[in-house]
This record gives sequence, C-alpha cells and structure tokens, in this order.
Amino acid sequence: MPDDDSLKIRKDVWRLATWDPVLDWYARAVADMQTRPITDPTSWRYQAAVHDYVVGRDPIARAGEKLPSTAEQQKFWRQCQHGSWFFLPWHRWYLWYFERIVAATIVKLGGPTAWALPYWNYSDERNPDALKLPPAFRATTMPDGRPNSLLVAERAPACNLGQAVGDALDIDLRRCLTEDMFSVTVFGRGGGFGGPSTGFHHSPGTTGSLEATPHGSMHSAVGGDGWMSAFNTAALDPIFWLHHANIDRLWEVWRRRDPARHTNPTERDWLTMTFDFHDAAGAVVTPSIEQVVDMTAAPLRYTYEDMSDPLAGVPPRLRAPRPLPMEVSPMPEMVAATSRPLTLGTGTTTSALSIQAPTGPARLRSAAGAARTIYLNLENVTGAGAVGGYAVYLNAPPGASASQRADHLAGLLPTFGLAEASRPDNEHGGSGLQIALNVTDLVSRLEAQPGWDSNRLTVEFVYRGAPTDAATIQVGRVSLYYA
Amino acid sequence: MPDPPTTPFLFSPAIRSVRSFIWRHPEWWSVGLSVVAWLVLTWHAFTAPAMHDHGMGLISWAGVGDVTVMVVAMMVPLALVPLRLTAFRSLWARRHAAMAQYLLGYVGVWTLSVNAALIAQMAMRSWLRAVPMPQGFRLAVVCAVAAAWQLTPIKQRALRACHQPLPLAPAGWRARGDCVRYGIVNAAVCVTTMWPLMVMSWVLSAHVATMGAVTLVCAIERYTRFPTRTARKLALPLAALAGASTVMAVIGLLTS
Repeated sequence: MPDDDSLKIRKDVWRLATWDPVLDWYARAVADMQTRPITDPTSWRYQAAVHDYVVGRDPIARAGEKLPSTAEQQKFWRQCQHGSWFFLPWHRWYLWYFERIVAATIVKLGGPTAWALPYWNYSDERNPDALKLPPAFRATTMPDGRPNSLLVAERAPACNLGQAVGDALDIDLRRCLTEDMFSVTVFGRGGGFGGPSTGFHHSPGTTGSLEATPHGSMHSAVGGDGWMSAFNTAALDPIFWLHHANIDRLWEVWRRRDPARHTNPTERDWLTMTFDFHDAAGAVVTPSIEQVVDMTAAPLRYTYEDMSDPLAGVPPRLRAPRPLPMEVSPMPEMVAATSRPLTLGTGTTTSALSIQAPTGPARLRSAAGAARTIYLNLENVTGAGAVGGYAVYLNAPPGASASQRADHLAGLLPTFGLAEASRPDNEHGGSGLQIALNVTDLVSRLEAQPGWDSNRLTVEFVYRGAPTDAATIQVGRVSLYYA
Repeated sequence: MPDPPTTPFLFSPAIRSVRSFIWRHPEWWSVGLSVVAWLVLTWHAFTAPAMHDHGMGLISWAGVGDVTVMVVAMMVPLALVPLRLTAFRSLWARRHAAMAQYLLGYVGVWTLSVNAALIAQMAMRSWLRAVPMPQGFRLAVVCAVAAAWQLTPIKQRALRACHQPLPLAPAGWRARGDCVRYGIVNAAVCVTTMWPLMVMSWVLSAHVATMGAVTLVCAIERYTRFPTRTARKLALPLAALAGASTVMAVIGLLTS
C-alpha cells in the first residue's frame, strides 16, 4: 500500500451511523484477517498474540496448527507493556501498525484508502448511550447479510444486549486527567498518569492512573468472564482496538489540558526505547518512542475528532508536591499499614489503619508548611476472578446507603491484569497488582469531621460484580503514604 | 510555602543532593558493608590461606566468620532491590532497622547454606579420595551441572521470585519478624538459583577473583531486561567451560 501522508482523523464511533463505511469496512477487514493463519503477522490472531498469548489457553486454537517458531514468538508476541511508562507509547505503536494492516486489507478488498480506526468515548456525558457497546459490535449480521465479524459472544452479558456496560465509576476521568506528572517511580505515590519508570515490562504491577481507570475498569466491564478481561484474549475482541484508541486519545487530552505541566518524559531511557512490530506488508519494524510523541507528525500522521477537555472549568485538583528546600524531589513516607493480608470475596471486607505521626520527609514538609498529598496503597493484590472489581471506601458509616457512601469513596480496585500479575511464572514471580489511590481530599475532609480518630481509619472493599461471581482475592497489605 | 531558613550551607544544592540521595537509596550502607567485606576477602587472599582450606575450621567461629564475610561480599549486592523495598515499605523511623532485620535473615540463611555445603564437601572428601578424579574432570562435572541447572524450570521460577516483595507489618515484633522472614525467603530463592555456581567456584578455586566473577554473573542475571532469558543464555558458556575442562583433563591424562 503506498504511503498516504494525509492527516487521518480517528472518529468517535458513536457519531457514525451504525454501518457507516468506516465500520462496514472494518468488519470486512476483520473477517478477512481472521481467515489468515496464525503464522501470518498480518493475521487477526497474530496481532492479538502480540499483546499476549498463552499456549493451551487460546480459545480459537485449531488442533494441529503450526505456531510461529519460539524465537519469533519471543521477539514479537507477549509484548504488551503494562504497569510501566511504556504503556501508552507501546499501545500507540501497536494500534498504529494494526490500523495500517486493516487499512491495507480494506484497499485489497476494494475499499477506500486512508481508513482510520474509530474510538469509543464511553465517558462522553453529552451522549446518553455512550456507555453502551456501539450497535455495529452487537448486530448479528452485516448489512449484506454475512455474519458480523465485530460481534463476539465472549463479553459481559450487558454488552450484546445493548445495555450500559459498567457505570460512572468505571469511566471516571477526574482522577487520571488531574494527575500532574506523567511518570512517578518512588514507592507509595502510584505511577502518575502514564506509569512508573521501568525497563521492558510485560507483567502488570504498579499502574499509572489512566491504565487503572478507565482502561482497566472498562476491560473488565466489557469482558465480564470473556475475552476483554484477560491479556491473552483481549485483542481478539474487535472492540479492544476502539477502546485503546480512546485511551490513546485521553493521553492527548491530558497533554492539552495543561501543556506547561502535563509533559511527556524527556529521559533518553524512555525516548530511545524500541519495540518490534510488523508493518502492513508483514515486514519487521523496530520503531522508537521518540517517533510517537507527536501523533500528527510523520510517520504517524493522525489526530482525533474530539480532544476537548471533558473537565473544562475544573482546575487540576492537586499539583505535584513541590520539593522542600533540602529535597531534590518529594519523597513519600509510609504512616500506616495493615499487619495481615486481607481476603476479599464477593461481599464487603473491612480493615483498619492506625496512622503514625510522620518522622521523616513528611514531617519536614509539614513543618515547612508544604501541601501534603496522601496515597492509599493496595499492595500485592493477587488472585483470580472478581471481574467486577472493588470500590474502596474510607470511614464509610456502617450500613450506609449508596449515596451516603459515595462521599467516602477512595477509588476503584480494578482487576484487569490480576490473573497475569498473580502467575508465579511471570516476570515478577506473581507479586500481583499495586494500586495507589490519591485520597488527599477525602482524608482532609474526614479529618475535619467530628469523631475523626487517626488511630482507626477504616478501609472497606465492596465488590461491584454479581454475588454469584467467582472471586478469590488477597490484598497483601493496605498502606497509607504521605508525600 | 515559607522561604527556607537562612542557613545556606545546610540547604546548599550539594547538601540537598546528598540528603536526597540518602533518602532515595537507603541501601547505601549495605553496599558499603559489601565493599568492606570485599576488601577483607582481598586482604585474606594475599595474606591468608585459601578459603576452602578453612573447611577444617568450619565448626569454629573463625570459619563461620569467614563464610559470613564471603556471603556479605558476594550476596548483598544481589539483594539491593528487596532491601530497597523493605526500606520503602517500612515506617521511616525503622527503615534502617528493617533492612538490618532483612539482612539477618538473608545473610543467616546463606551462611548456614554455605557452611552446610562445605561440611558436606568435607564429609565427601574420603569418598572422593577413593574415586580418583583429576581436577579437570571434577570441574567439568560441576560446570555441566551448572549449565543444566540454568535451563531448569526450578531455576527460572526462583529467578522470577528474586525481587518479589512480601507484605510487611508496620510495627512491633510482627514487623521485625516479617523483615527477617522476607530475608529468609529471599535467601532461599537465591540459594536455589545460585548453588551450582557457588559449588563451581569452590572447585575452580576459592580465590577472591573467582568469587567476584560469580557475583558478577549472578548480578547480570538479575538486573538484565529479561533475567530468565539471560539465565538460559549463560548455560552456553558454562557448557563450553565443561567441555574445555574435559579436554584439558584428557590431555593431562594422556600426557602424564
């Protein structure tokens, strides 16, 4: 396919007609890619395996089929970056090469050139249907009567019934878009907007706030017990690519929200990192992150239909803490932690923290009158199931109604990537997920309320899925950090 | 935010950088401990008999002390990640104590393991004398075992578990116990990954240079981008060493 230098516009799927040519050709291209053998780098299954692949757990494996060689699998498969500052740029490249493969397929099938991948903006408050799966992805047939390749049965039941997928908590953008720093690597403060500084990082660990919500929560909300809920099958669902296009768009929305502060990393370790992909012709390419920071520039040359700030008028809630005079940059300090692991099921589990007076950097910061940020860390979260994830509350009154409890919400514990993070054979020996929730506002409000007792801060985990779901989750430790 | 106090020296950029470095690298003193241990080993190498000759003194405190120094030198650099995790996951006031408690468990298990291995080696000496085997063949056998071990699933799993954090209680005896337990668990995993290389170093020579080489190889395994793949690749030079030792041993036999 000849290189087309025009700026492609990725459109909001909900602003397209059900079978707009963009979606009609997408479905045809997906069907064509699904006929290619798994050894073909431009095949549907090969592209999905680039994200992750588990031998013996491929739902559409065929008996006796030949897989790519071990060396090829090591180089190109199981490459998705999670729990890392490479999460966003790797997925940007992944989507871009996928888009080019689809576009080339469309041209081969007699379709238009310059096809662009649409995105699914499930957080669009102007669209009452935003949380529903777009109709083209749940229709049983295409306009020409052929089976619809965009329909996948392995989803949460609500998806294909045209009901809302997830709820407002799953698509909440306030936490991620108000992060001031792209990458945070010190323990106790989470990963920032985009994730902590790491090396090559396929297994999840400490996530950036965008990766947690809405990325992880929507994976689980759409997938249920199905494909989108697991690393190794997520990209088999055609909606995966529109979901990630939205995540990619939110990266740009964040940057534009405050261009002076919301900047990408400038470290050479980030910019010069390379990954291996295949282009539309199946040739090997090894692009670097440096080439991906400006999506409108060559070679990417695309943009999004709508990159307006959904929080327009809402200032950044918290600025990154400024370092003290004796600090080069702020250092978090642990002030409380649980003594025993917690076991979570499909009900409600409560624990308590006793906050110690800080004695290190946090004390000095307090003495200097510096603003304090507080993080609730959920460490070493391991297990399986619990696709609904958990809502975490601080000091919620016993027996409180949903609306009373809402004021005590600390954040979500999404379980996308939980199984992968818990596997003992993963890169980190199964150490699980690490989630950090910014609870500065919440704790400050609780401290101002009568009856506040720093020796007993209750932490409540409430399961958000069905009571009949399978869930065996352990939280190694809950801790509180001042930064 | 108020202006900083007017004591320019304490808040000078140099002091800020040093303090920030110390805050962010609480493991600094364990690195210093390891450096001192290497200096002691080096001094021993030039002034005292080779380490393995202390086998007869293993049941003495001096022998245990020598082994402890060796463990601190060789193994502490491989535990920097869990040491940092221990510090950052502890209350600020006890983070150095937490690291010390971790090292108690870590160095303790390693010291016991090495001593047990050396005692076993002593016990096997009479058997080995009854089965004459040139040094070259002995080295070839341990290198071949080390090479094979690099490829085993047990080694791969243990390597992945090397940097795995464990939850730590915040205070009290439970906190102390958790830190010691963390060190013990980590050391057990480390011993699992490294034991053939340690045996190989003793058979080769107990010289400080050999110890340094083993530490370097193990550090490369742990701190590269793909530790398990690096471990598999290291099987090749070990197998080559086994082959070369065999050839040298055969030549030695033929020419003697």
